[in-house]
Amino acid sequence: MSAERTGGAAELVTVTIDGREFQVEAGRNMLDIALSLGFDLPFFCWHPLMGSIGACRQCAVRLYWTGRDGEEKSEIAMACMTEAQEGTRIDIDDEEAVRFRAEMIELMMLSHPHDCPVCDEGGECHLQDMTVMTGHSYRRYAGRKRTFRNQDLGPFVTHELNRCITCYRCTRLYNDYAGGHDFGVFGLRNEIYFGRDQDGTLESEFSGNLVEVCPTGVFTDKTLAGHYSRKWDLQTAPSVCPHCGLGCSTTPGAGYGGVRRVVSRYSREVNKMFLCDRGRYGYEYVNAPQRIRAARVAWRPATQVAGQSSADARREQALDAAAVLLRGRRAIGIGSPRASLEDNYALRSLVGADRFYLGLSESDYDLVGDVLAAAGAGGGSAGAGGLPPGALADVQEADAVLILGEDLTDTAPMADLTVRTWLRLRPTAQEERVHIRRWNDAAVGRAKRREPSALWIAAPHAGKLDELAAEAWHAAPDDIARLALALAHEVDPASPPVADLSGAENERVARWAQALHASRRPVVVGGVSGGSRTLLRAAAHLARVLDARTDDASGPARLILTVPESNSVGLRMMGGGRLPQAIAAVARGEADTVVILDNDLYRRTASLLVDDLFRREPDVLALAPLEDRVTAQAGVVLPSATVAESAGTFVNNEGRAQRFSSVLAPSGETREAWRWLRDLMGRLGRQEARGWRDVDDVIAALEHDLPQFRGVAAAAPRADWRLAGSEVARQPRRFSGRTAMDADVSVFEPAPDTDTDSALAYSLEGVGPAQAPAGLLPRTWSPGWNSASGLHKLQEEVNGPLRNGPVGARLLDRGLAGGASAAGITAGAGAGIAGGSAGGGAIAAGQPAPAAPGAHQARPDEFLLLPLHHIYGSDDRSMYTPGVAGRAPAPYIALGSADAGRLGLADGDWLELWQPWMDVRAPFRLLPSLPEGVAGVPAGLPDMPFLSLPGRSRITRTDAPPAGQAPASGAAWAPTGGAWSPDATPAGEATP
Amino acid sequence: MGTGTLVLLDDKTCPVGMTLNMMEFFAQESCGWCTPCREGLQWAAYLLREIEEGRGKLEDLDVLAEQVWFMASDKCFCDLAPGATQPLEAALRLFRDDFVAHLKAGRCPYAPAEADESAGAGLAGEAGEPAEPGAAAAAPAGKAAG
Repeated sequence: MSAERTGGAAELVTVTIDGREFQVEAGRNMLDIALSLGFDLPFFCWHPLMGSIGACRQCAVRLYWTGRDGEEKSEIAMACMTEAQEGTRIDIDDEEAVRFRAEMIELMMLSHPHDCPVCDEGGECHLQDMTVMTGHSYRRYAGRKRTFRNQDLGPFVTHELNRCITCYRCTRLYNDYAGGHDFGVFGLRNEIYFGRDQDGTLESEFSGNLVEVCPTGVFTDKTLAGHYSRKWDLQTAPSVCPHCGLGCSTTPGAGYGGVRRVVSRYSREVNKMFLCDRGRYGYEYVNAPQRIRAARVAWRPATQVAGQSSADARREQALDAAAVLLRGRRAIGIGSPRASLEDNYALRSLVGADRFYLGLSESDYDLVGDVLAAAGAGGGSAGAGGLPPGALADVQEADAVLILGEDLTDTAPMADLTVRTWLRLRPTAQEERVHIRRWNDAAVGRAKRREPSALWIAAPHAGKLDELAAEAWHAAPDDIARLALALAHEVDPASPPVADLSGAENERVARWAQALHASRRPVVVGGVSGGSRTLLRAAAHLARVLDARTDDASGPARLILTVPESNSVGLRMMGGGRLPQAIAAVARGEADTVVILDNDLYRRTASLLVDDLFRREPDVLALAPLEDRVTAQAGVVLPSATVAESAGTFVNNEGRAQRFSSVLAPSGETREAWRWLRDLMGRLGRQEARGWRDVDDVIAALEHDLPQFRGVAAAAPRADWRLAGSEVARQPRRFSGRTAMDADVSVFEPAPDTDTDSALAYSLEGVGPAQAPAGLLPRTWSPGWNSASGLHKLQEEVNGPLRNGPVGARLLDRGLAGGASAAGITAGAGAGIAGGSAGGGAIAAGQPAPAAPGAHQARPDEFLLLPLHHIYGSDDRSMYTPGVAGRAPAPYIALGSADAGRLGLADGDWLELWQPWMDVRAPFRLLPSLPEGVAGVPAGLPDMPFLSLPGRSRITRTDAPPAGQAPASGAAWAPTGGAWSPDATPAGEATP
Repeated sequence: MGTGTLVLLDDKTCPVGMTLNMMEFFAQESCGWCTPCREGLQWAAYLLREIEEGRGKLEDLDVLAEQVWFMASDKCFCDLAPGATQPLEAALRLFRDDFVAHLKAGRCPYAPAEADESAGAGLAGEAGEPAEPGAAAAAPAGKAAG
């Protein structure tokens, strides 16, 4: 716990623990200090991020003090509730304290079932660890155990409440921190019940964290139970979540050739110790039957390729076939925001910088460009250009947060949890006055109830965070942009005023400006998900103006922007053309072959355009891990590895390059996309990639070629890192299944898999977590601490950085506008691609205030159509997890109360909307908070066609499709033909 | 006892039964926040009922004494359990003979003999008179549950 959480500069005091003196930060609690210093002291209810409540009485120590008469006194005290002051003296190794701690375990065990052998928590159970640590072994209680009825909590979390030791961590996390409403604590005495008021799926987007927070087996991972392995039988490696743009750190666990589960990996700057449920449970796509495991060549009988030959031979055949498509042909490449830097760079190298296209939707191309522009010159916060991109960790130090246009819960869920955590833990004047410490959780919670919120939200529709906000205002993006620009003018009169503000707008601006004037460290949160460049730029401008305040009390302002996908920023930094330009190049006959890297283009642009691309019959080479509408039409399909099976780098929304490592070896003919592309270059006689033996070689080439990526190599240790000749072991020491796992197939022990791309070994031999560099930390484990609650053993101090080095490397701090970096960024646009839209030049030094848009006007005949994001549904990869798919919405068209009333719409009605190339019919859904004249459709649903959003569209009532023609709850859609493609044959009712 | 109050018992009232009554009340009152009180009080009530109903063991007295120790005021979150264990502490100290009598008799010596019990045992319970420890010899031996 650093100074920020104790609410002031660190004052050092001398404390004594077991007779040894230590200099420590005043005001921290003695449990935190003892653990940070390396003492083993058992605990349950204390949690590093949620503080102390003094309920479990497990961290008992002897506390000494001197009475008024000068006599030394002592008593048993709870370390977690004891504040470190000058002269604080405790003994952990006190006879009575030791006996008491063992007694507490006996009490918790009175009703605890003897089911460790069949409990999913076994082997990573904090209760087991603490029981061993205290030495309790024999239970004297012989009466009846109290028992509970368990609940069905939905697809993610199993409930087995008889194992409960009543530490209250679950309800504190779920209710107090994550803001859940459907879970709680019931009952009294020894019959405390933690659960819902009735069976049902946990509603919180963060329910999976119960699994890690619970110190015993009450809450366990239900998806893991479907293909269970003990922790000691799981092969683990550091990874990065691929399901949104925040880049949370994860630790996937693999066994039997598949990913079994995902748990959080500590990242001080991003996700701390938590994950959202999309990130935790979205992994099933790795194991999905839709995985492509064998190379496929369309024009040859399958038997010839997939015959009896070895995987290597089949790979060679596939490469031969792919080389035919490329040799002497004019090829273009389409990259992907969910493929690594290395894979994208390899494709760019294959086709050439001027023939490399990013494969982003038009909207994302512009918006992510604006995100980079907002980072601008960076470096110094007072610079003429942009701000260094804000990290989630910056929220922790804020005194006001403005969310402009983002529904964080659905677009960047861990940002939502970060804001919630901040709201609870931010220091307040009241707490300072009465000396409430940040770790004193019950007191902090009570004090916060009386404090006004410091969260301000302006968004197109209501969100889950609204209830915590001082004010939540729902308006069209242009109106929110007007608010942001008007606020900027209030903060700095030099920023141009917004014309024609209405009376209500003026009042709102005055209220919000008051909050900003009072704040010293404001954070502005915006992003791309609303689709409005005007709003994104207005938010960035407001943050710059706040940051430039020169009065003495003001600290730096931060700007946190969300991006859609795991490598959106990395891909946009690389630079390249726009997707429609790629399609146009094919249409103009300028390209014979299209190489598509893990990208279902039907999610990026109108299906009519993609259909047109294929209708021109270019040769298509697809590298993809999963079957999709592109691989179905490709001439050659090469199976590429997922995040779980390869090493690579993603750049997250704050420009942080983060390395992921493979957690299991690719199976079948699957391999990393860059390896396929390297070998293709070799086939074609090209020299660039000849030296690429491992991912470090690709990164070296990338850094050399594109200076904006300098620093990527520093994101993680190189593959040739060794400690005393050893790599880091992916498998725990007790990995028992090594010789038995495949015994049903062959009793001969298979050769271990090899991995040349990281200093991690598929072995139980090697460096363990304690000595591993932070960038290679394979799991949370240290001797005696088998559960997630042993994290502090791997940190420099509780809540501090991981020991053994940094993780990740920020790329945007040094600025983008100057020198070679800018050249790299704009290389795509400069390479003969007419990519510059009106705002294309935004990546430049000295960013002027954007012009204020006019106020949003509702039109009776035409709606502003916005994308509505869903944590379950808008990311297609996580939809392979049945529990995620089951919670995704069916397609719909949403209108606000005013419009629904005007049109007389009711549940069960169907609406039809027209876009230039697409009609969509879908059921009406009432979203009361949508402003008048604004409609919404769910973004990214697999059942929905691509719609160019935001857009304008006529929406009318229509008849429900007859039964059998379309699913009752689904959408029907049909391309309507258009100017783009005169020779397009009008399609009938297309299938979603 | 407990809160500084004196409770007067006549010679027909079982001090173990009275302590049990109080402990069952306090075990009901526990809010369930901290471990010693939540688990300790109901365990104490359980042991007292075992003793009162004749299923107690001599070791149970040690466990009860230990419960007084771990529910002391420096060890619990609030003062409910420390207050609740005061009468238990006093009872163990002042009425140890009565506890032992329960254990030896295998039943409460203050309780009237039940109709279906053997004749020999029934004599001791006459007119609610405290049973002589020796009279318990004919009663079934105390049996621990579980």
